[in-house]
Amino acid sequence: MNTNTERAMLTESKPVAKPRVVALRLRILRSWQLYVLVLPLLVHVAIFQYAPMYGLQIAFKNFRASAGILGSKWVGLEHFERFFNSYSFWNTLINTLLINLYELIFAFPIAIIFALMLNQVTKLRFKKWVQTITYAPHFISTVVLVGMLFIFLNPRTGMVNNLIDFFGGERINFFGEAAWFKPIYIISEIWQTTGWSAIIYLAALTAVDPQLHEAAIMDGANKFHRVRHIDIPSIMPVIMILLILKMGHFASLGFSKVLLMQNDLNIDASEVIQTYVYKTGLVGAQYSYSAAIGLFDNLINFILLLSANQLAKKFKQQSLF
Amino acid sequence: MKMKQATQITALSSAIMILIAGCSSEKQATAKTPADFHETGLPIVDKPITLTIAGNFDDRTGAKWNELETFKKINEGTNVQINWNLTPGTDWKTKRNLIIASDDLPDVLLDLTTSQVVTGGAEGTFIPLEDMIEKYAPNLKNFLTKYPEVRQAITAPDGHIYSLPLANMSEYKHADGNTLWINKEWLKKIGMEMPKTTDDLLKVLKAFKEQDMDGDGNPNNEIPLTGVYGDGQYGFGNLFGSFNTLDRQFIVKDDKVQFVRGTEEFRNAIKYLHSLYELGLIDPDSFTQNSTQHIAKISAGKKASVGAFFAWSADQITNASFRWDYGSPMIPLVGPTGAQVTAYNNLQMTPGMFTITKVNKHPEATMRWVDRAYEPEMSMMLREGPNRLKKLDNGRYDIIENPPNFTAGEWKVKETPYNSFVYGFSEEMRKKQNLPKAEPGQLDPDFDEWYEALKPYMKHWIFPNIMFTDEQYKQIERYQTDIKKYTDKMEAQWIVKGGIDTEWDNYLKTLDKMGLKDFIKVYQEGYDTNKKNLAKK
Repeated sequence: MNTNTERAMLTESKPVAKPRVVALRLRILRSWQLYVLVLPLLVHVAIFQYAPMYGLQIAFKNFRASAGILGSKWVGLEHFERFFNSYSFWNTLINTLLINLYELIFAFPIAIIFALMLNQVTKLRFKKWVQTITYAPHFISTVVLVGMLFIFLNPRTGMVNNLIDFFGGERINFFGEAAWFKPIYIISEIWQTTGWSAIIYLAALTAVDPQLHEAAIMDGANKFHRVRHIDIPSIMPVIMILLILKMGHFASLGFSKVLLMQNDLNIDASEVIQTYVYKTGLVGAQYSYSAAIGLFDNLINFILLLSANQLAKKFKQQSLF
Repeated sequence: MKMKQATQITALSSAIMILIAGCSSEKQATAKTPADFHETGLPIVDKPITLTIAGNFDDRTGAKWNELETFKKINEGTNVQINWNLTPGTDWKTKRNLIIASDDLPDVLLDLTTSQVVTGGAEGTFIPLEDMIEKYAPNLKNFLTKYPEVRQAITAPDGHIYSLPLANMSEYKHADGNTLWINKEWLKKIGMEMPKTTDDLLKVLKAFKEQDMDGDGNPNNEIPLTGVYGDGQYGFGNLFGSFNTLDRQFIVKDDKVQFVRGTEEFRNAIKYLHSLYELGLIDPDSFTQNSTQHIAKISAGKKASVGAFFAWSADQITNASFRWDYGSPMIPLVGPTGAQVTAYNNLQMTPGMFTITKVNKHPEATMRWVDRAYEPEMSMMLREGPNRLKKLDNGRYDIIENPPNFTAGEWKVKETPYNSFVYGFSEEMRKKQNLPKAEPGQLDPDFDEWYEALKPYMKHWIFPNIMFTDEQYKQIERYQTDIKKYTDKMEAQWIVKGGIDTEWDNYLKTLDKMGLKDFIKVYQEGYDTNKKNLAKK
């Protein structure tokens, strides 16, 4: 329909129609191009994020393929109870949370520190060079990365063990010790993601007004002072947002990497909720049970996300909602 | 308003129509055979039909099954075309679960677990096949008549047959494939005999470790013994026989089902393995490597670097330059208490190899098509490879050895779907082959002599190939994941770190909490029912 005639019609009947609704429709019609641009995203979210939630109900049912999702028998919280009482519950939950906590404590700040340091580098060539080298590992696929870890850490032939041996130490079977699993996971994670995560902080740092720095220098601030009082406060909103987003998938982590690094000797430290869901659901064909565990996992994520957001609000920082 | 009503009515009536059409077409499929279908002779159908079949493939054969000589012969003149939907073997375990759970079924599903077959049969996903076997599958029918135990193995507890088997009934397959191989050249070097007892083995491995076996001046780069922990073929299970048990989840002694990892025999076997590990005789990689890495390690280099390992046959997986270096003590090593046991395995069988799903519009034609694979000569080709068989005038077959550009394994699977499709191979057909005579010291489990030598030590302890009820499978699934995970972990830790004696009682208690008693009970019931059924026949 022609927008002009519509508008004419609307202005005529103005006193009768509900003004707010009309105004909204009008606004939509006026900038329909923007809505068309947003539409594919909305459809995507609806189809791939919301529609699958329909299937979540199998967590409360005994799913049978032939009966379908609707036709399967309702059993309530049976699967949840079974999981909470199972041998694997505490172990998997604690591992999941611990690995993420370590990642948050060690990997998250390192990227920020790295970006702050890199920002101080004045030689552009050197800066580019360092940046390329540090974010290159990001492009190594998980399978290859874990393969590399196996080779480097091999107890007989691995580089690391040869070094330990050279300095007179005892060779360590890194993948055969549960205690080593988390350190290896976190350190390799830092190695792989630091450069990449730093990019966004670097981008935020370039937006800092140079006048602030100039003024600070005039007042006699050294480099350290400037980082502390100018750089960090300026990128704080970005840090907070990324932290909240990270909390949002706190309880779900690089599933394939954990699974690939897992073996019977380190399983006490390496079984996480997601690998357990994979084993019971996809391999063991207990769909309802694994759906219940997955739902529980998401529930933890959601709670953590909300609390992080509340915390951010409380400290008057940027928050998501 | 009227318009709306009208559309509603049309929608409703068309929905009903679709429903009716759906019903009638289903009826047609099961009760009335299509007009252009022939009960005997070729073609099977006048108008060409295409069946979609989902399964998995061996890396060495590839996914282009229509180009394999065996399938060209099976398809020839039938007017049945196959659209293969194949997944790599390693992914199949999860893929088949996804196919079934999504209810997006092909006409035929290959290679399922018996649990999937029984559940799918009970839910109507797979159609019962026993009547069609009678009518349209003469070759398979003959095979099942000859081997009633196969019929028993594929019959679900509700009396229906929902799947067709892969079955290799040659006697030599009773021997266990998990064999210990020891480097004979190294034995010569240290002046020791092939070990006969578990103590001998320890002494040999110790010598392998301490001396410079490969002669490169470094006495520390030899691996005395390696394996793949938990693997049926490359694992350490072979040594369990010296402790009067077998490395299986369940075994049956005197009609009583035993959970091996809860027995004293198991405890002794693990203590022995720990004594090897403690001395540095077992490769620590054994707990982290998979079978591919294991084979790569064994066959690496121009000279052997491994003293002993476990496999089906050494010469097929080691480097050509030292492939005959390895020999096997063959008969089980004598344990500390004199035990010397090996498994009398169930014959090679996959009961759930071929299922016809409810969406298949041509079940009769499918049955006639697949029966061509059970034709004795075709079954032999599927088993042994058509390129390896040369038919002689007297009705016997010569085996053609692998040309130099193929390994024995590659040559065998070249034109076949290699154990990912059905066949029914009988002992009779096996006897028709002129097998190459084994040279002394080069025996492996592929030879009948091997089986004969092991026979006196074989115990009939292996849990039979049976189908549980749907309800029993549900229970098994419930206990399986946690119990397996826990015992896998504990066994590995005990081998590496020891401590089995102090932790044993706690371990048994934990297993009890996990429901081990009920888990065993399900297997005992399944075993008892099966025994009763066999006695009836």
